Amino acid sequence: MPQPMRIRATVKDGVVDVRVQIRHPMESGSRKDEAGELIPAWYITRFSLTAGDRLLFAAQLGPGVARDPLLHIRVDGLAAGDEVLAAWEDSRGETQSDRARVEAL
Amino acid sequence: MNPRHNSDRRRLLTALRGLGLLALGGWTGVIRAASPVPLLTFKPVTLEAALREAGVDAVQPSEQLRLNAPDVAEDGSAVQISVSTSLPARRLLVLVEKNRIPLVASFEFPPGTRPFLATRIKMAGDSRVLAVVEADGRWFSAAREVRVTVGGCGG
Repeated sequence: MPQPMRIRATVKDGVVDVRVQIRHPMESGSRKDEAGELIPAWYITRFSLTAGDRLLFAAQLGPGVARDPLLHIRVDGLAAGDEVLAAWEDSRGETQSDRARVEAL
Repeated sequence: MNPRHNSDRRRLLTALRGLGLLALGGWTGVIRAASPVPLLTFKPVTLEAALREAGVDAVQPSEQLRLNAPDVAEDGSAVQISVSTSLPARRLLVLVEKNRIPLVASFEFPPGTRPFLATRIKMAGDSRVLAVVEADGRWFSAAREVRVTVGGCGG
């Protein structure tokens, strides 16, 4: 089962900093295990961040994003208490979504 | 798996279904519907081919685009970078020229989201890192040379 994301959204002077830490191996498909066998590619392909029906951010990721991806973005027009929803899908079709509320700094 | 989280997830999925956001395609429908950018492939190609496939024809360097990356990265498996710009950029591509797969990721900034991003990328070895943004229908780039002490199997 995918592990939950850690999401921190803080507002300061009207700007919301959203930091999302995803837990995922992001295997590139070119790494070998101890027995010398290639470890199959397995990585997050898509990510989105929304607030209600507003799309805040979308991304297509490849295996060149580091293990346990960290995404930090900046958004206007949200206030403390607003809820954001982060969602990802990986190359095996697994999905994960998590929510967090904007906190005042 | 934490049961509280599980029920939270179930509630969320139910809510999204209620909003009609989860069509027959399931969860993926939400993400696809959200993104007007064509599906990219992450393949072992040259930097030029990767840019072409992402829809970048002509690109010009811009001093209004700032790419922060270390001069020397100790560990190529996680190199911290950030990109910011005063251009009205709606789309950002990050590439590592010498990686087997140069295209790292594509990011979209809808109106109301600042064209800013920080993340960590893999670098197989010393390489030029590129940030390429689309603003007002044109593509602009910024590049940094990064030396890598221990390569990170760059995808």
